[in-house]
Amino acid sequence: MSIMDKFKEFFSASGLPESYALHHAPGPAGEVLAALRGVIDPEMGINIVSIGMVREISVEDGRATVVITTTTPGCPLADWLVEACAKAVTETGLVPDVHITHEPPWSPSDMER
Amino acid sequence: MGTLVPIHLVMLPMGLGLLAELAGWLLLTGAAPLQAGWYGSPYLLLGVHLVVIGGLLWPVIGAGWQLTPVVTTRPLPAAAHRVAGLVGPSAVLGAALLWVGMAGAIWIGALGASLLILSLLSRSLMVVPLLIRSSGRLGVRVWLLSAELALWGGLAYAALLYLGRLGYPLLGNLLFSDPISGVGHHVALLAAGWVGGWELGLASLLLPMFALGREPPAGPLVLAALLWYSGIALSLPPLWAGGGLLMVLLLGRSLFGAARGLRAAGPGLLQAALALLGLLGAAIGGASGLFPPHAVVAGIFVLWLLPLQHGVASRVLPFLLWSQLLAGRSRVPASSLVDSRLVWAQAGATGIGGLTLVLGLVREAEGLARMGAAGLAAGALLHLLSVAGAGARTFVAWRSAVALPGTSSEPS
Repeated sequence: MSIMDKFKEFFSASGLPESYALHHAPGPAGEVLAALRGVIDPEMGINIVSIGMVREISVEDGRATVVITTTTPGCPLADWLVEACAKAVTETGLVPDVHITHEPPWSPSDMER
Repeated sequence: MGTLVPIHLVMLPMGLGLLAELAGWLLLTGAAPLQAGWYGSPYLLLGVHLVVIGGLLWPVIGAGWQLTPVVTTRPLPAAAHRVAGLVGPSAVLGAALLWVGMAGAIWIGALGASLLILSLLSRSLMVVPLLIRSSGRLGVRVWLLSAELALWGGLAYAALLYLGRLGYPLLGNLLFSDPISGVGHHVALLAAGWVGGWELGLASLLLPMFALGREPPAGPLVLAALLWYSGIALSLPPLWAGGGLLMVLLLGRSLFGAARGLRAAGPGLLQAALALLGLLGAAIGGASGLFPPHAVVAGIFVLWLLPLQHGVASRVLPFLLWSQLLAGRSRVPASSLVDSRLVWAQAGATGIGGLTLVLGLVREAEGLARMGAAGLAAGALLHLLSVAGAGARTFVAWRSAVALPGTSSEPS
């Protein structure tokens, strides 16, 4: 690899995102995902699904478990995001159970394109 | 319990700091002889300290209370809230008395200097254990902890300089070859060491956050801090210039690899990114020895520290106002709280003013330097208007939300 290639690699955006199964989830999980698209990150002005903050959705016995992350650990808005997601889930008729994880940490490659 | 702290802990020092910064630039534009030398003119000393304490020191205090819990990912403990509640007003009062002292009443200034030093040390003794005890973000924590060490050194020099001014040089005679060298250490430790360390440490967290990029890795951040602070401690400009260059590369990598382009991220972030070039210029200027030391010091203040602080504040303050007062109450987005035209104008005035001031000092052209100070005064005024406008918009949106319960920022 030439020095120029290394230089370009150093400054390039991280790897392209694989379209992950969550974004095509069928049934109730898909409904929850659609509802979460209504939760807008107030700083970015982008919905949290497009930013790639929704990590996991599972629906069982009328209960929706949602695992989200934030773009930075310690984000001051974490509590608000949990509440906003819970409210969005409630509006689908399911009981919300929203958690935050930082493993693995959010990266730009998590974003939808 | 989240990582948000009461907004007055952030806004009091930052808001008052903007007023002081504006007053300082107006004084430097109109009254102070800019070429008089660092130690010669009381008005120059007063103008510089109004700008530096108001525009840089108080914002670090205010932003530090909010961003320390973000760095440590733990809420600020109750004891720190109490200390923060005391430090803000006492640092403001201390600085105000210090300014009075610099204008002539030197014993009142001594009281102010003591109060300011005690306030900063109390704050430091509260923040340092929080940074040491947390885990993760090693690179950022090394920068901030090194910055706090520099603060202690810088305050010791400040005390010795002030004692010398009162006619009690004490250790100053042993430590300084001349008053200028003492001023040099004082400036290097407090500006590049403390304010610069906080700005660079927090920039490695905030710039990627706003641009939707990756935080720089810990190892190179620690190496950069090592070079930077070794250079300051050993008075070796090439060493700290090397640390600065490494930080510019690391932050540049985060920004250019970010999911959101710099243009889309807005004028504040662009200004902060351009300030990194100011850091690079000041570092190269300092290491090469081609420019007079006072022009390099001015470059550090006006091409790097101030624009970085203005740019980041343009992003952080509306976000904090939204988080504190509108989250869950209003549909108004945080980005609409600030008028981006004012931020563009502020960034332009600050940038052009800073370049003109440094050019005036390099060419020893008093008129040019004053024009630069006037540009920086315009930048400070526009920054003040931008922040005040964000506050007013937040208040209006908050009043509307309170008057019309049921509107909320969550999806309907």
